[in-house]
Amino acid sequence: MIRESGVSNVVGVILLLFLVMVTSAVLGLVLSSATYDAVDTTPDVIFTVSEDPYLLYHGGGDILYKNDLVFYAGGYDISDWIFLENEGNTWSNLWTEWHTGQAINISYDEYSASDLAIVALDSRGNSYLVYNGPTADPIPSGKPVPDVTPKPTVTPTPLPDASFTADLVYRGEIVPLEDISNPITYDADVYICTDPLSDYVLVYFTASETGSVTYAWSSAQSTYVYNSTQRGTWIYLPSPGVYTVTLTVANSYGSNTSSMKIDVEPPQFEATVSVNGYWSSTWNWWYGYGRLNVNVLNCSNDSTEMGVKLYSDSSMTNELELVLDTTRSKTSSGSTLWNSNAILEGDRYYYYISDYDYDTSHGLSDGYVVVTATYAGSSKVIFSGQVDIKSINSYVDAYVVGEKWKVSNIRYHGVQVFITALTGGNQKDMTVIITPMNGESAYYTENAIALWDDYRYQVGNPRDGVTYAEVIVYVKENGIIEEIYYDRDLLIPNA
Amino acid sequence: MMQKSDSGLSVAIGFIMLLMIIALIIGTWALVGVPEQTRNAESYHAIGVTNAFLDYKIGVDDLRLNNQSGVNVSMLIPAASAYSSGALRLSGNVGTLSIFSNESLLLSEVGMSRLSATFGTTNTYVGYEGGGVFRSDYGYATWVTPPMFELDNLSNDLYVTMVVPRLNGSFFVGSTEGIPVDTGWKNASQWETFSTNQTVEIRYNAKEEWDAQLWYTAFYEAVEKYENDENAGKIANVTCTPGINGNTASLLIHPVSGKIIHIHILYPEYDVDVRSS
Repeated sequence: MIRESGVSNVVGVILLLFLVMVTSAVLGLVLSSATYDAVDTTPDVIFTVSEDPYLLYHGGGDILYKNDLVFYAGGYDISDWIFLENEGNTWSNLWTEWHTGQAINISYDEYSASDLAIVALDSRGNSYLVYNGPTADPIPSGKPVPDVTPKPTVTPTPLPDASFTADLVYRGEIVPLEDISNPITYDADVYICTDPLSDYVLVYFTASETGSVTYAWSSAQSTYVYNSTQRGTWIYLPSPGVYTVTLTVANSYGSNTSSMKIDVEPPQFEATVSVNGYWSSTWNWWYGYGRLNVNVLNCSNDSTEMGVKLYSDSSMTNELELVLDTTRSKTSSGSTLWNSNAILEGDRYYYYISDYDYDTSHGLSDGYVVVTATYAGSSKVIFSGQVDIKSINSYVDAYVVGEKWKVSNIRYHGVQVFITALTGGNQKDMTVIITPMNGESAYYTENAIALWDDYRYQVGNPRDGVTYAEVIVYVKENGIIEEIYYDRDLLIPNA
Repeated sequence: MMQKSDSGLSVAIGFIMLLMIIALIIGTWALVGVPEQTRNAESYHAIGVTNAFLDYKIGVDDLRLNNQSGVNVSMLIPAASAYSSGALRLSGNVGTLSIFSNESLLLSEVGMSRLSATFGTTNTYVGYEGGGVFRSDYGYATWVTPPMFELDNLSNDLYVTMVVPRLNGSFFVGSTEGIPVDTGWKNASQWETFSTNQTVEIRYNAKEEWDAQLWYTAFYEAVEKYENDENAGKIANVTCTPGINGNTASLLIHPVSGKIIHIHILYPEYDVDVRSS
């Protein structure tokens, strides 16, 4: 009995120790497993929907990590089509963390945020449904992650189109640039003349690509770029200068970039003396579809007067006023308020600045002119500068009177061209050449053109079946020929 | 004798084993259970504070809408949680709101007020700003309910409506319990109205970048809501473009010729008083 008792005690202790060890091991494994699971619990997060059907906001809570998330829509894993808004409001699918307030963009055309289901994974692959949109396909309970995740069949798309267009914004109105571009040979894709009453140009750019892409606009030279998340962006371009606006469009396959060079020019006004002696200076003001030309033109036969000619061929200038100030000219006279009326289409005005002392009656004199444009209550000086008055011998001029071509005197059964030469002095070798292109013989006058000389030429004869003429008028001086007029479709009325 | 020694050894070993198991259980609970419990409590507490601010918004809006002067909205903001203390702060000028028309100042800078509670171990705080309630975690913020800023198409003219509450007072109160706040409507403020056919830019300069991002989101959502309105629809060729540049959020509105932008702004004033408990 004693032996048996001893054996049973030893066995009992060993069994007890074994039992304690097994229990401890099992308990340790259970606690370890519980610890592991507890550390990787479902993230606490709120989601907020957007007015934009393709956006979904992180509405507060834990930071979400992309590697621990799977995005489903229509039963497909569309995680690669989930873009996140980065700083600077650019979008990328290469994000890692999703913070409070940031939005994801479902860049998969067929699905919106309502179709989205988000599953969070812990480090052991356990899955938890953290968001289910109102129209999302139900995910089987207890098995939120499909064993086989079908990938959507997507035909690989080419890199996105990065081309874009530019529209000028003039006083709140969008004006397509192609309608106002000036055919001037600038080394630029687009030419814009600044609004003379403003200090900047506002251009609206629109990307051509409309697919599931991100847009990034930039202009290194611009002071302000609205780096919008949309297809379009507003960019201020202070004048003058050449600006390069760049658009980068990216999709999941890569990106494309294109640039547009924009030449912003100040109002054009260049006062130069032409070979035949008149001042021809043009300033073009583009607004809307209209154009205002301001010419300073010395077309007088009296060298002691300087004519200032302003005219508009715009149909949109009824609110425009022009004021000419000559008080700063030492040789000027006349009212400082030259024209306070609205400039109408086709208006032409002349103003003369007299040379009072005639001290340069056959030499140089000058006038100082300030032309101010007033529009919509704002004023801006559009030209100021010295305008020389040439001596009588220093220039010649020729132009066609009236509308340059005057149709009259049907007795001649055709069109008569009246040419009046406003020349002075000894313009011995000046020649007017009329070249009708309809078979008539050319007309030349090799004689010197005297002041107020009129020349007439009959172009075509309707009775001979000629109903229009194509006419070019040249002025030839000192061996240099300059074309001063052409009309390729001059109607000849029947007698 | 041998029997006694064996018996005593087994009892001692068994007792020690038992202590070890108890220590293991307590240690595991302290290591895993307590943080998880704290985390869950913080999450629920954040929801509680957010709901308190939503109630606060309803209360102060009700004062304004019913012209209830002399009546206070009294709230107990549960800033502190069971695991950490909290604080309530009223800041009078966390940013400035300006409106430009064709680059000319139409509305000079208006200070933005903010009442906010900070709490917890996750750097979370919840606040009332611009008539909306926001929540911020780890330096990123979002609107729980957006500020009172709307764009509407009425007879093909664009109407911009803003209500910018001004909270008078300045305090920063910490507490381990809830913090009582009394808010009274000060006076009957008038709507300010501007109408223009020129380009309009609504600009918010924030002192902190996350606040600018918050207002960019408000502008963006307001534009989306206006453009997606199935009843009125968006006005053709009137473009509304939200933008952000550093600490400045903006909304640029370009009307076509002949279109008018009407801007209505109301600045209700409230006196806010707080007493620490």
